[in-house]
Amino acid sequence: MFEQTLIAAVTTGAIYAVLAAGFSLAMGTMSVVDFAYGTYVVLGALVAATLPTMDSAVVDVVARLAVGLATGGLAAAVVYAVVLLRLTDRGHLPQLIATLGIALVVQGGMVQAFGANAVSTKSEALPGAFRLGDVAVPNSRVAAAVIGVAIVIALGFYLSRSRTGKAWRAVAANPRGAVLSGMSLPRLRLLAGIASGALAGLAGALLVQYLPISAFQGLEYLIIAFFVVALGGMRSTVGPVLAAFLFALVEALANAYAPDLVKGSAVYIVVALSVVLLPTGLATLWMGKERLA
Amino acid sequence: MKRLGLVAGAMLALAVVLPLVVGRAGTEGYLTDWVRLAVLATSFIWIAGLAGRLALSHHAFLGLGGYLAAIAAFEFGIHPLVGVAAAIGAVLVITWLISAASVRFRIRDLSFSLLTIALADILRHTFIQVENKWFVGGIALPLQDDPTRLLFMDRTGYFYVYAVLLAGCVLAHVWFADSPHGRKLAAIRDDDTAAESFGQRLLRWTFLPYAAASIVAVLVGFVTVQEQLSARTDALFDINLLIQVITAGMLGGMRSRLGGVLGAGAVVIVDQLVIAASLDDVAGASLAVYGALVVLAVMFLPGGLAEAGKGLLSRSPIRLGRMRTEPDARDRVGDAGSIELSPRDRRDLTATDVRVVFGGVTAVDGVSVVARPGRIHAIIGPNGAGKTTLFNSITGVVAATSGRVVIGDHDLTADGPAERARQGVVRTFQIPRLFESLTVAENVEIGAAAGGGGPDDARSVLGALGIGRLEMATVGELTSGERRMVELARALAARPSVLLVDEVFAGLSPQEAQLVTETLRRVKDAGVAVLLVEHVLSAVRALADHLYVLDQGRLLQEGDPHEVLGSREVRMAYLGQST
Repeated sequence: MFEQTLIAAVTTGAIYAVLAAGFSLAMGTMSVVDFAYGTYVVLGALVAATLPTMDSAVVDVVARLAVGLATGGLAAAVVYAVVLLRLTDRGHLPQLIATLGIALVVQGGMVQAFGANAVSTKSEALPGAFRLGDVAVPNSRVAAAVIGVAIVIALGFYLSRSRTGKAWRAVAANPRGAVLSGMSLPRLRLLAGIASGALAGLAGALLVQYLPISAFQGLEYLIIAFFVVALGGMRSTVGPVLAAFLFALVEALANAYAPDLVKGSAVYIVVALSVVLLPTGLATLWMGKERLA
Repeated sequence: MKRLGLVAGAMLALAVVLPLVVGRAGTEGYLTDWVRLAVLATSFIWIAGLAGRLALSHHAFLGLGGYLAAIAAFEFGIHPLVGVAAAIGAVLVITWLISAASVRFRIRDLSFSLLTIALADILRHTFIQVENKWFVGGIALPLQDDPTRLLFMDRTGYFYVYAVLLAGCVLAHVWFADSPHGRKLAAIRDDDTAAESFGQRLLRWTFLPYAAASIVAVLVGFVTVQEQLSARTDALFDINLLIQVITAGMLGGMRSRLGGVLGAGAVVIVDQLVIAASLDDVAGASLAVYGALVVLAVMFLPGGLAEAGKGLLSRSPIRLGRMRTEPDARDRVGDAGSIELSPRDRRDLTATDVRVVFGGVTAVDGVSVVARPGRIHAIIGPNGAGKTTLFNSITGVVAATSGRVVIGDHDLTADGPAERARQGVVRTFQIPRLFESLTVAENVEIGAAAGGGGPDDARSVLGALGIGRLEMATVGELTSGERRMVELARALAARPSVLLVDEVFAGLSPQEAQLVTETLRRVKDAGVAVLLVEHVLSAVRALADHLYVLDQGRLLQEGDPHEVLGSREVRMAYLGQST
């Protein structure tokens, strides 16, 4: 029982890490407020789940992930180009309210297109299970976790090494300075938005491999992404990854062991306590307070 | 007060006339829907519009009030208002905790929204569990006619109940928006750091609007349960209602006195249209319609219907405040007698051994400075020497890692920026931080209020600085030089004991610089202790009585300005070589 819980936490944690990475790219790095972030997750998941089953298990998984990634990125591209980029100089509140509206519109569209019920990938994409001592871990979960970790590591390298990654960090540190150095702020924001939407869609496609997801769950995943990033530290790269595993662990333990009355709220209570103790996130432990403020 | 009477009279007349005009069909249906939604939207605007924090917990507090009222009546057989009182107590505790956390940890914007919606979710889940365990299927109240419990036999009674609530909310809103407090809230919304530096208490002005709005939601929840004679979590903790409230607020206008009333009307009309087009059967469609309306309102109707209507009525949507650019009678430049520049009291400011550490960087490393009444103390040093950080730690904007700050015999070390401003420590910012949605006069009035003064004091300071003509201008219209002058006026209006001026000469025209020099001299002669961070050395030579030189966070030298500026060490720090 306990081992199962632990393994569920590790696999879900890897996907939450992807979710948080995309969220902190838009919110922490580019300081764009996107309430529709959770709907990219759900959209990626629903579209990926409707793909017909392929013969080859590997092709099947790769195709679903690619479709989730593309869907999320495309949706974010439209949202940024049509609405968000026009609101960036009006402060955060208009962005927040407008993207809340967008989330509702997309949700309505998804209910129409995919129905109101939760769906999951119908095929057993990667059949069989991986044996770890006495515990059997379904292969689809193992694959999801491995891919999640790989994506987050790749993103970390991209942010620190690539030209665009450096430009994003420059904008985060000082938008005006970045503009004066010849960077195009709208273009960088659009790119970051697409990347963040793509990561969200990918996370959705990973989740839907083993978890049923419905059109109404956008807000749920937005809240998870937010709390993971808050727990880990807005400005840190490593913090949210650790936080993702911690969050998934608390969630899994609460589901398994907490009394009914606090089952839904246990993880939030833990996060709240942690934020009181470490206001700038887990990353405070090794980065120091003010660099994260 | 006259305005309040007018609004009250108009609403009374409407409450009497409307039911007669539309008849029972209206009060049984859409008219009561409208008034109910208007109550929720008006209160929602207090926190989301006036305070600028989009709290997404209105539906949950409505559910809390309704459910506790039902439990009191059904389970314990006592008056439902006992349950309402319990709910209000819970609301006060919860909103205080959320407000304190959001002020302490600077939780704003999306973070605040998500924090509050997570809270709403926790409340909802908790009550679902309670319902599953003790009240399966919800609570049903007996049908009876008991006006003392707000139980009426038809819905018209509830129209009047909601109308009374709405009248209370709108009157409170009008009173508040017209009072000086309305301006304080706008200042905090625009720039909470600057507002705090002028004595505004962030916690109070987050908690009060949030708690007041949430209490109204609790009351509506109570009335809802009495009206429906049942309490079920899926009907009471309904996020669709929250969406309706947000849509109403956005459509009506989040900053307007009648925004909630207008917006709720628009939403009820949209609802009727959705039903007429039989879209209400299509899953997700009515929410999508609300979503689209919200997006359109944000992009094309930022002030909502209320602002749009005002613009049409007055036919002059553009403010003409800055038309007069010539000096006029309000500008009495150099007329020292016309304005009160004397400090509220003459006290020394002593900062002892201040250290500020950011991560691995020590920005200020054990610096001690003293500011004495009637003297100007300048702080110079290369970029990155820690001058502005020292200012921030003296005014409390940045918490010092160690060290003490004392004014007179009052220790400020543990106080926040608002308390330090109230003690007479007032500043300007390196990059001016004015309250963008207020006029110039209102900006300076915020300063005057921090020093116990009123609008007249604000006006006379503007006149003395030669910018009386800008009184009615909005901040967005100002040049960068004018911004600095207005910021200085705002600080002076607070009648500081200690004035901290951060690079005020940067970007001023020669005339403006001359005026600022004269003003600072007069401020000093009136007995204010002045601390001046400055790069313009000619201004330092002209003004400073005492000079501190910082380099790499340390105090390099201090003393008479001419001697210090001539020293070899100081030249080396600035030029990096010994020539």
